Amino acid sequence: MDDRGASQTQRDGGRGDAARSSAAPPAHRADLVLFAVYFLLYAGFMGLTAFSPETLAIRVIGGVNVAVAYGMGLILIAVILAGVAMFTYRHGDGSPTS
Amino acid sequence: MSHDSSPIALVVFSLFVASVLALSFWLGRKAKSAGGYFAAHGQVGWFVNGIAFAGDYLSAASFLGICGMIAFYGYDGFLYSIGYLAGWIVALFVIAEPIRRLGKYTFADALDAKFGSKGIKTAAAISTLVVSVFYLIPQMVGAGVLIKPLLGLPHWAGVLIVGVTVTMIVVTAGMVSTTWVQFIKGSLLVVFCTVLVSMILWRGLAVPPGGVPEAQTRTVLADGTVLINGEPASATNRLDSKLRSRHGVGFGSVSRLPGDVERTGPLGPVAYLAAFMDSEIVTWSKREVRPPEVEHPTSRFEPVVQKGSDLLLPGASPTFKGLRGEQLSKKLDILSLMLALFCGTASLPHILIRYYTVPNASAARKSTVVGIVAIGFFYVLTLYLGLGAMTSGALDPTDSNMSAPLLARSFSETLFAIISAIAFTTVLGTVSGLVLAGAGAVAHDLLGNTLGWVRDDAAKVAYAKVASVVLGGGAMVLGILFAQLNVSFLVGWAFNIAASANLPALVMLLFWKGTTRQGVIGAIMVGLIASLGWVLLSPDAMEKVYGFSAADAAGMSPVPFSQPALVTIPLGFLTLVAISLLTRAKAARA
Repeated sequence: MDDRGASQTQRDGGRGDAARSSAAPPAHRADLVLFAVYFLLYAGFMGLTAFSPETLAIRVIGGVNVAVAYGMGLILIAVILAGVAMFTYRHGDGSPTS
Repeated sequence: MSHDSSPIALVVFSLFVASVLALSFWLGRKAKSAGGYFAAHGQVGWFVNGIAFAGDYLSAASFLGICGMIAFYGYDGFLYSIGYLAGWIVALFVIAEPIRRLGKYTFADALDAKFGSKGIKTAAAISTLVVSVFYLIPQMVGAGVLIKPLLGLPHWAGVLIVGVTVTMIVVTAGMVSTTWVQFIKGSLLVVFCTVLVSMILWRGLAVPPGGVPEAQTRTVLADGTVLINGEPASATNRLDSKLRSRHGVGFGSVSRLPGDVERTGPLGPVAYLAAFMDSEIVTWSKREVRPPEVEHPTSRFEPVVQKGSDLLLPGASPTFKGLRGEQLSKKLDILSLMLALFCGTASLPHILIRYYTVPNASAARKSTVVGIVAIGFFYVLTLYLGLGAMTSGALDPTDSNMSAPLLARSFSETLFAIISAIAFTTVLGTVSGLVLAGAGAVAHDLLGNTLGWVRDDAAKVAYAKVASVVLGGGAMVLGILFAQLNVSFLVGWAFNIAASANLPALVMLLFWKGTTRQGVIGAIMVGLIASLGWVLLSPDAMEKVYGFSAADAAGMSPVPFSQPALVTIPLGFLTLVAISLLTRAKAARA
């Protein structure tokens, strides 16, 4: 698959694309922070599951154990973050391109 | 265990399939262009698309597999719910908008927007095809599993019905009707599961009379005659007949409630879980007894009383029992699976193509949010559906996949019919999305761009339709061949391969300016080959696919655990960075 020629001619166009998509960093930063928060919560849950099962057995809110509370919590937090994402989205960023 | 094929189920089911097909033909009249066929003209509203995401995603494995796993082993099935939903966070915050901005019809378009390289298109199309096929097999197997009790037909008939119906949907109308089928199915699934969970909470928990039940046996004689508890099997002597006459319920019940009451009455969502934790539950284990111990091969179903608090902790099922042991490789295996679920969602081809059915990047984000809300709500329900089935007295101890439909039957025959029909449409919808993604990869990316055979849009659509027929046929054959394999086990592999092959290229392209064309191609191919090879040589494959004993399988396999994601995702990233740096240095020197 020798397409060196094709990519040569496309390279300039490519740079243009990159410049266009890097025009909206602030909104992206908020997204990445929210993503990092969730990733840490998920990783924390998996860490407990694999290496500290006794913590998961502790009863917390309403007589429910940590396993159920944390697991349900991860689902609810995902839904809440999704709601937040509706508001952090800056209108006008996602200019229709097609 | 045999089930009655119910006439009402048959009627509801036929009505469902007929109306889905009619809708598909009607919507497909106008979709003649490639834009209409592959991307529904990019004119689907964000709300409809969001629910259609839920329709695409809540496949047979989600619905039947997770509920069944919770019903048999408790918490472990819920780990899948958590992982499957968490993956949407990657889709929402990392993938959704950029991929909509970059692409036209397929995921290969988006990867390639910057470089215009045939190599990238080819690599992305190959990975799309491989992942689609891996994800198609469990869906087809699920179809066969469902059709058996529902219509009383053999496994292959179920696979054929789904295959033919789906191919017709895809060939007639493409993405427009696939989207509407998914929308209808997604909403019905969430609505009826909510109804079912409300009924579970209203029923509460109850202890049936007669104490802890007795073991039941099923024996197969040399001439094929089946004996249940020593008597010939018949309509009045089934596996659960004796249980039902003595205790009023079949398999799966409560043996003691907190405060030793007989029934709890209606419970709230938290109180239900708390009451379950303080109860004792009768679960069933199956033991195969072979000659010479007995005269004929016999399956013994033995009651095991377990504490609810133990059932609501991870590690009770065969899949996750490594969590309760000391072996590090077993734990890494499970962490690797959970990583694959997290990273795989945003790399699945039938999810990615749905980003091109909406008008713009803002709609892509909004529809992801709607999808997350619907899917998250559904996954909360799965825990109640599973625990409800576990205590419903209606389990089939030979088939965990039937737990959710049988739970519905414990309430009413009509509900059973509706839930079964929805589950079947679930298979239908997911399969059509996958076939369409695969057909797009073949016609638009491989034939259109790589080989340059197909230039105009009308021809692309025609080739895509031929590709759909071939893919649909192939999926049917594989669905029949792999009938014995566990559904959620196969889905896990599809997530591993999708995440390893697609995610590094997608993420780095969006966030690292130094990414080069060769880096993207290298990352896709290395991720794909490494994860595919790992999966095919894993201890799980040795044991479950090639049929070696568990001990032999562990010894023969060159890889330490079965789920590759923990190794192959970082490998994909490393490959991309290394090749990009090398090729950039070369370009700078030249």
